Amino acid sequence: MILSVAVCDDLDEERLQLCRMLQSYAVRNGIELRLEPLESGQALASVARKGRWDLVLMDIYMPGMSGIEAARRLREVDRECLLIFATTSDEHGIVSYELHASDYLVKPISQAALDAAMDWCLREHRDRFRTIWVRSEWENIEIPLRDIRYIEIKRHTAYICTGDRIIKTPRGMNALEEEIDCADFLRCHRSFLVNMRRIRRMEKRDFVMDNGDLVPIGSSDAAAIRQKFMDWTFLRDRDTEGIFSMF
Amino acid sequence: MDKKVYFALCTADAGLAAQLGAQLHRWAEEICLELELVDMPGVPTKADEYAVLLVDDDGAGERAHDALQQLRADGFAGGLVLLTGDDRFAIDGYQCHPDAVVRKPLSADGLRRAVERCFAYWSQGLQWIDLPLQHRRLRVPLYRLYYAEAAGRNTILYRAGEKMQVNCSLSALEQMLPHPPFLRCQKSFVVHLAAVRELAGGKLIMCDGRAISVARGLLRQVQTELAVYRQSNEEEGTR
Repeated sequence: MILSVAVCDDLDEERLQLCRMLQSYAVRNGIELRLEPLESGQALASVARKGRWDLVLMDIYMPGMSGIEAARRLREVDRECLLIFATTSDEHGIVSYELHASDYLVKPISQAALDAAMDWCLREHRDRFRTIWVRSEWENIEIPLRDIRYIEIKRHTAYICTGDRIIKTPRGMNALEEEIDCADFLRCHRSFLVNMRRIRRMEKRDFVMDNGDLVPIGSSDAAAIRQKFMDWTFLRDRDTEGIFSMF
Repeated sequence: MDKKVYFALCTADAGLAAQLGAQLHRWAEEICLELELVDMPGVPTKADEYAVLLVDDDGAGERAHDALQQLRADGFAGGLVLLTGDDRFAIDGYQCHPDAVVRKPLSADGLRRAVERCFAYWSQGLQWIDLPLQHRRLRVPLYRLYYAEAAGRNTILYRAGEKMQVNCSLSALEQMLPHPPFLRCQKSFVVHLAAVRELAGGKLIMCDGRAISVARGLLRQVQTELAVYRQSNEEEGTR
């Protein structure tokens, strides 16, 4: 598993200590950690964008922009990034929930407390961090599920279309579908499995993906597929535009 | 879908329970949710039948957290909302991973935002309607449906920033919609009362900015129903 984490704390020693504890957790749990230490709320807010981090550890009392304000800015661009407050303050408990924090750790923070918070985050959001291993040519490749746009089967070979490349592997659709077993994926055609998170819109006979690719909707079961996609979209993004315009 | 969902109000404060009950019933009516509320003085030992627990701190402090942690350990997988004015209680609440915290004293908006965070747990109670669309059937949620406009033998449904045409008449659709919150305001429109920003000069100004004229014969009824709807909302907001 690959985990991208920002640690935002103005005190060098505390920032370093949090990074060390995260490294320790990662080593014990077989996680490849990509750490980004940041020394102010302003620094975090200025580089924040959707999908940049899987998790942010945030101090609250910092000179300039506070951690609460930085978290608000983060939420404006990324609603899904996990957020844990790591602070000496015990005065922001209620507001932390409004910012969709996953935990609130009061300093001094023990390794056990950080481990428990990380365990819960990774367990609760396991689908987001899941990966599959496939054999392609002469190498084994680990692919995060969220990177997969769709999978197409042609002549007993699966073509896995990810964010930056297409990976060929000699696997059947049923086996891959069974291994992926994730509510975000929809078998929309005999030869296609699509990641609904990567669909931009639905046309009469195709899904239009976020890179412009077209994934066909099987004609024999089109109504049920379209309904499944609408239900999924509604449950995930009920307040945003796009549910009706899918049709 | 279209299944009744149960919320438990866990508080020993009868006044708070009454306030919560009134606000939640109004919210449920607005979003077309089949909701049943159950009052109880504290955290139950079993809660599998509840979609959401709303737990007042009641000065119970750690005891409430212990009971909720035990519930979680026993497999309670529903939504959890804490009601408190105490930041420390909210921080300790992370042990049982609530979905939201509502700050006391309660506000109608704060409560709505909190229960909306538990959407996944109560969404099966939302009302959906089955409509014909281009030679097939489509199930559409009434949640956040602002208004419907007749278009010949078809009807155009409007929700936040988008619309969809379905192949059924406005009259047929009207029969499927609950009243209130939906109301016929003229021969070509049915509106959701909560989506009306104002009534001015015989026109309804909707939350998306569209002005819909009200039939003269229906003006009095629309005025009355809108006033009643708004008054009860205001009463709940200020209780």
